[in-house]
Formats: sequence, C-alpha cells, structure tokens
Amino acid sequence: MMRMLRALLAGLRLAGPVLLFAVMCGCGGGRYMLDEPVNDPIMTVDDRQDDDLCNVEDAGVSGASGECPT
Amino acid sequence: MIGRNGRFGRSAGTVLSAAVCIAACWVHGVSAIGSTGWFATRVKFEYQYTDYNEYRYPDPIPPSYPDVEYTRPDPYIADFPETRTLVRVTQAFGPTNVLQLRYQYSDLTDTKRQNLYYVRFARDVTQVTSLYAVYQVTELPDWFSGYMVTLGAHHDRSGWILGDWSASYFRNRAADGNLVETLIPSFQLRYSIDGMTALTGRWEAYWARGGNGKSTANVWSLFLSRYLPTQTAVHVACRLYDNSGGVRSWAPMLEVAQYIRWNLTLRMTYRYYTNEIEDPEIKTAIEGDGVRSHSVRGYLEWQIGSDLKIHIKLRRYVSNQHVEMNTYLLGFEYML
Repeated sequence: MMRMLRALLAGLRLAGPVLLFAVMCGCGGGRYMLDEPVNDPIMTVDDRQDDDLCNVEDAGVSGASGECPT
Repeated sequence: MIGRNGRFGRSAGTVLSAAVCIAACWVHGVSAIGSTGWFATRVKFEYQYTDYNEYRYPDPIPPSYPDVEYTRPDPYIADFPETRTLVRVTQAFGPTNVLQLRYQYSDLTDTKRQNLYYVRFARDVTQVTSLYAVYQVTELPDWFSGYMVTLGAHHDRSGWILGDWSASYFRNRAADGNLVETLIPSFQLRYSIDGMTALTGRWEAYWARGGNGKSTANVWSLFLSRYLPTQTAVHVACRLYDNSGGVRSWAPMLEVAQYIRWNLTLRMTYRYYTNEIEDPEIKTAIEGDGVRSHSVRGYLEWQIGSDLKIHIKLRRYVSNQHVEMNTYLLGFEYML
C-alpha cells in the first residue's frame, strides 16, 4: 500500500510540471501569450481611418453620422 | 502607547489608526496618478489640413421629388473637411473605468463649419470583456444638428480573439425640419489563425427613416493580416457597400506596416474605390457612371520617451470626379 502511494506521489511529482507546462504553453495558456507577433500593435488595421472619405464616397450615407473613428 | 488600554484610550487610537490609513491611502492615491497609475490621463491634439489644388465646390443641385420639397445640401462630392482640429482627453478612473471626451471642429466649406462633441465611458466587467456607452452631438449651423447614442461591448482574449458589438441610434434634424433617425448595428470579430496571422471581419448596417422615406445600407469588411520576420505586418482588406438607393461599392486595400525603430512605425496604404450607381438623381451630379478613386497614404507614429507620441499623416487622393487633394495631419498624444 505504501509502495503504491509513493509511486503515485512520484508520478504526480513528475507529471505535475509537465501538466502545468502543457496547460500554460500548450493548448491552454500558450495560445493566449501576449508576446506573440499576432498581438503586435502593427497588426491592428482599420479601413475606417479615412473618415473624411467615408463621409463622401458612398453618397454620404455611410459615415454621415460622424461615427468614423479618428 | 497607543491602543485599547493606552493613554489615548480606544477612540483616540481608532481615530489615529484611521488617520494613518487615510494618509497612507492619500499618499498611495497621489502616487497612483501618472502614466503608470490608475488615474492616468492621455491628451491628444490633432490638426488636419487638406489642399484641394484647383478643385472648387460646384453649385448646389436642387432635385425634385413628387411630394416633398427637398434641396440637396450639396452635390454628390461634398464635405471633404478642409481643416479639422481635434482635442481628445482620455481619463482612467481606477483599473476598470475609462472616460473619454472629444471635441472636433471641421471647416467643411466657406459657409459650413461643424462642431462635434463626444463622450465615451468604458468599464471592464471581466478580465476580457468591457462595456461602453457613447453620446455624441453634431452641430452644423444652418444645415442640421443631431445626436447619437451608442451602447456596445468589447471582448479581448489577449488579442487572440477580439470582438466588438455595438448598436447606435442617430437622430438628426435638417434645417428644413426634416427629421432622420438611423439605427446602426455593428459587429466585428478578429480571430488569430496562428501566431502570425489574423483574420478580421466586420459588418455594419444603416437603417434610416425620415421625411423622404426609408433607406438601408450594409457594409462588409474583411481583413487578412500577416506578420513577417522583418518586423513587418501586411494587411490585405476589402470593403463592400450596398444601399437601397442603388449605390454599390467595393474598395480593396493593401497596407504595409513596418518598424523602422522600436519606437517608430510607418504604415503605407493604398486604397482603390469604385462604385456603381443606379439612382438617376445622383448620376446627374457626378461625372460618368460612377466614382473611381485612388488613395495613397503614409502614416508615421513616433513614440518619444514614455510620455509623448507624434502622429504624422500624408495622403494623396485622386478621383475621376476632378477631385485631387493632398491631406496633411499632425497629431500629438501626451500622457500626463
């Protein structure tokens, strides 16, 4: 009985960090790491930046309310 | 000795303890004001000037409708802001609340000057979701005045999944008394395909009703963004537009964003616009069957130190409506 318990604890000691690493860097937390290039500020884009153009080109309908961001 | 049995007694000790706590909170609060504190303030000032070369505004065209006397305020090509001044203050109240105030002045023509007042409040309700509300007033003396209310939600899962949902109600009254109400729902979702690629889609609709009847419009945009090892981001996008007045347009766009230095980024953008118009009234106000335009833009963002960011934009716009213009923008963003 004690032998089984020691084996289980040893297994957990070994598997624990592996599981933690897998959760943080694998299918879980790693997917949401902030330093990935996809989160870089230059990866943001918005075609509404030219608000003065969107006020006009579509016959003044889109953007006519002034909701274009600046 | 200060305490329950001390010479100051229980009440004095409690008061002193409270005073110490208040003083500590005050000192902590003062130190929290600033660029790294909970009460950070960001101020932006922006000035835009447009040079129209030889372009002049044509005379107004009065279209006629069977039952309604209506004069189109300006021809189809109108209201390019010649100059625009913007002041924006963003104030954080604690770690979860942000208030933004904005004033924008646009000099549209020699006789049309527009004031825009804008208030936005956002609150983080969870670690990944925030709710926001916007109130905006637009004044165009002698032409129209209106206001807009927006409620929305923003979802940010560490940048991997970005979602934004909002609904706006816009109400404006023209100088001739014509009232127009518009409901504007929008939905945007950005999904990261992998660590270097993102796909973004957006839909907006305009459901308007007024003295001249009802009209609807829809806008769809799709962006594909890819990060390259050269510290470059390439964005390919296309915007489609369709309204019940018989105007359909599409606008492909290519943008390259590049780090020149760690604190200096340059965005180069090319945008082509073309539309098809069925409305005979609009056709009388334009050259040819539709509008075609080319737009090339360079946008520089320069972070100086930790407090100051400078924005510079240059844009060249050419269309088949004999409109050619250069636009210059200079902006300062300061963290107090």
